[in-house]
Parts: sequence; C-alpha cells; structure tokens
Amino acid sequence: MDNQMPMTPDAELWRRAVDGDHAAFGDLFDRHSRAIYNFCFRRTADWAAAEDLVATVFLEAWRKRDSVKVGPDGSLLPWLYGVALNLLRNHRRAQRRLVSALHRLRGEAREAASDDAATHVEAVRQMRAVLDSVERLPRRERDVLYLCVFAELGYDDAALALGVPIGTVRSRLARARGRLRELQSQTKHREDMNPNERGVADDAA
Amino acid sequence: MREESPTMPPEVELPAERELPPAVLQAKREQVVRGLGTTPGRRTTRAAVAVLVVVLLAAAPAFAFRAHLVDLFSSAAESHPEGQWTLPPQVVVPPMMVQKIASRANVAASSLRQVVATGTGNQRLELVVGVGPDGRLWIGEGGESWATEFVPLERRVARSDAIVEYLRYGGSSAAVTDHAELVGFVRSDVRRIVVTRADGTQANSPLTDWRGFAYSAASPAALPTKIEAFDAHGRLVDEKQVDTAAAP
Repeated sequence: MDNQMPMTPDAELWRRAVDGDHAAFGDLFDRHSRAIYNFCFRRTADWAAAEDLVATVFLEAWRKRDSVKVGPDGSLLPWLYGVALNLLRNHRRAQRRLVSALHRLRGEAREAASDDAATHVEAVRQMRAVLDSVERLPRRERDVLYLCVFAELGYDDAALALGVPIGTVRSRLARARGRLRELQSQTKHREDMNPNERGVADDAA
Repeated sequence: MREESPTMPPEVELPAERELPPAVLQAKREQVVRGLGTTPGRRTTRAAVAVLVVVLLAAAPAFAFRAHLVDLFSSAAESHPEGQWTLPPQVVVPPMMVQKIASRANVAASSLRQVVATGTGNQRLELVVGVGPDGRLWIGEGGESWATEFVPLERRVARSDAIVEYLRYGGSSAAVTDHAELVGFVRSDVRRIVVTRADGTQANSPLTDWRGFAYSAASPAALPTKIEAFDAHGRLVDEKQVDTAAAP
C-alpha cells in the first residue's frame, strides 16, 4: 500500500464531498482508483471488467455514504475495498454465466491484441490460476483472503471492511491459507511434471 | 504459531499492479463526479421516494400528471457543465476485425468501446473508440469483415468540433447515390442530434448512452445533407455539412 501521507486526509475530503464539493470526491477517486482497479482485476482476472467496475465501486460507495467507515489511519480505502467486495460478489453472480462464455470466445483475443499483450495475457493467466484455487474456498475465508492478500490490507483494516472482529480475520485467514496451500501444492505437483517426467512416470507405471 | 502479518503462501504469485490508462482514468473520474448528483444515498432514496409520492398525489388533480413526470426526469439529464471527449463505458465488444486493426495502431484492446452501430451485412458500420499509445482517445470504423485504420481523435476534430462523423454511401451506378449510413460520436455536452435530409425534412437522431448516433438513408430523398448538434439548453454547438453527391 502507498505509505505517502496524503495532503488532505480522506475523512476531510469525504466531509467536503458530502457538503456538496464534488471535486473533493474526485480527489478521493484520484487517490484510490488505482488500488480499486487492481483489486477488481484480481477478483475478476479481466482488465476490461476491472476498468468498468472502478467507477461503479465509487458510485456505490457514494450511494452507501450513510454507512461510511474511516480506517484507523484515517483512510477510506479499507471501507472502499469492502464496498468493492460486495459489489464484485453481486457482479460475479450476475455475470458468471453470460460473461464467462463471452470471455472464453473473445476475451483471449482482446487481451492478445493489446500493445503489451504478453504482459497482460500473462497477468490474466496467472490471476485465473490463482482464482481457480481461491474460489474453491468457503466464502468467508475467501473474502478475508481477497482483502488481506489481494488488497494487502492489515488485519485491522480487513476487520473494518468486513465488519468482524480482528481475531475472526486472523482465524479465517489462517484456515484459508492452510486450505489454499494444500490446493496449490496439489496443482503445482501436477504442473511441475514436465512431459519427460510424465513419460518416465508413465513408463514406470 | 499464528502469522503476525497477512501474507500469501510463497508459491502463489499475484500479477503486478497496473495503472489505469490516462484517458480511461479521466473518463471514469468524470463519470463518478457527474454521478454524484444523480446517486442519492439509501436513506435519501427512501425519503425522496416518499416525498415524491406525496407531491405527485397532491399535484395530480391540479396538473397534467405525465407532463410533470417528464419535467422531473429531464432536469436530471442537464448535469454536463461543459463538453469533453471522453471514453464511454464498455458494453459491446467490437468485431474481431476492428480489434485487429486497433492492435496495429497500438490501441489498447481492453479500452475499445463500440459507441454506435448501424446497418447489417455489408452495410454494417460501427464506430469504435479506444485509448491509443499516447494515452489519448483514438477512433476507427469498421464492420464484421473490414475496418479502417485507427487515428487520434484530435486528428479528426478541430478545437470547436462537437461531432465526429463517418459516412458510407453508394448507389446502383457511379453517378447515383441512393443509400447512406452515417455514424458519429459527440462531445459530452451534446444532447440532441438533428439530421437534415436531401428533401429538406429533418430527423432527430437519438444519442446512444455512449454518445454515439446513427442515421441510415435508403433513398436519395433521405440522404443526409447536414448534421446539427444541440446542448442541454437547446443551443447549437456544432454543425456539419454532409456531401453524398460524389461517387463513392
């Protein structure tokens, strides 16, 4: 996360935005849109969807402004991650069937056609592989993992975003990591076998 | 032993973070700031609905009900303070051919947006914008099996322009024009497009949610001769003459 101290605290910008200074909300957008964009990508493995979701997350945050929570360090980012998490859950539910089919057909080509195609496609491939494992976890453990690992939040910020005690975040994360490590090792074991090794293994069998 | 900091198992690597392209960032920021005025809070929504119901019930006997509703909603659309060229949200994925041509110009594939489409088959015409290698908007046109080169939007519009239009037309012989497809993209302050036909009549060309418009003519009398753009206050902000007289 960015360690630079902001010129104006998030809470102050938020107060000004609520008082009608929309430019202050624009400043909050400038400050946190990159983090939310990358979080959305890590949740969807789709750069275009992440682009489209950035503005939606901020507008949803504005709609939920009555329930705003400022983090221990005065940042709104943990709460914004919480808003994004809920939005992405609904988004995933609504889009899963339709969009996944479309992406299978066109998504690869779209990404492959971009300027720095190799980097983007590799990121998508890498993220899909991670999500394949993460999405096999129970939802509560998944949410903690998204916030603590994908968004790199501390335990206290994740607790604020999810509205649960810090101890719960710790225990859920520990369980998630245990399960994930197991899933990863199973997957890695299969992937690490190169064709020659597979051949040897097959011969041995 | 419990972990003291939340870290990923070392065998799981996340891809590097990435910046939003500048034009996308600007467009999203504008979309968010513009949306604040039209996105009430949850409590505000409930209160507003209750107040609205009371007001409408009270006003119903005295006034024309429908006219008031139209006024209420039309006022919400007047939130664009000034005109800018910004990237619309992505809804429809452009045809593969357009994507290929865009990649040749290094226009980021993930930024491609179809703003409008008209016609079918060989007459299909789509207008697509995207973010170019310079971080600014680029524009191109195409169909299922063809596409033109993408160019910087700045190259297509003068400083005062509020419309960028693309026209395809043809006829049964080189000397005759009897059909035309017109598509365009407009600046954010444009609210209404009026097309004047060859026979002098006029047609409103509705704007899509992505600030595109399309007009199709199937007879010489319906060929477009002029496009006019009006802002939310009904002021003429741009006017383009359209020439379909020459052979294509």
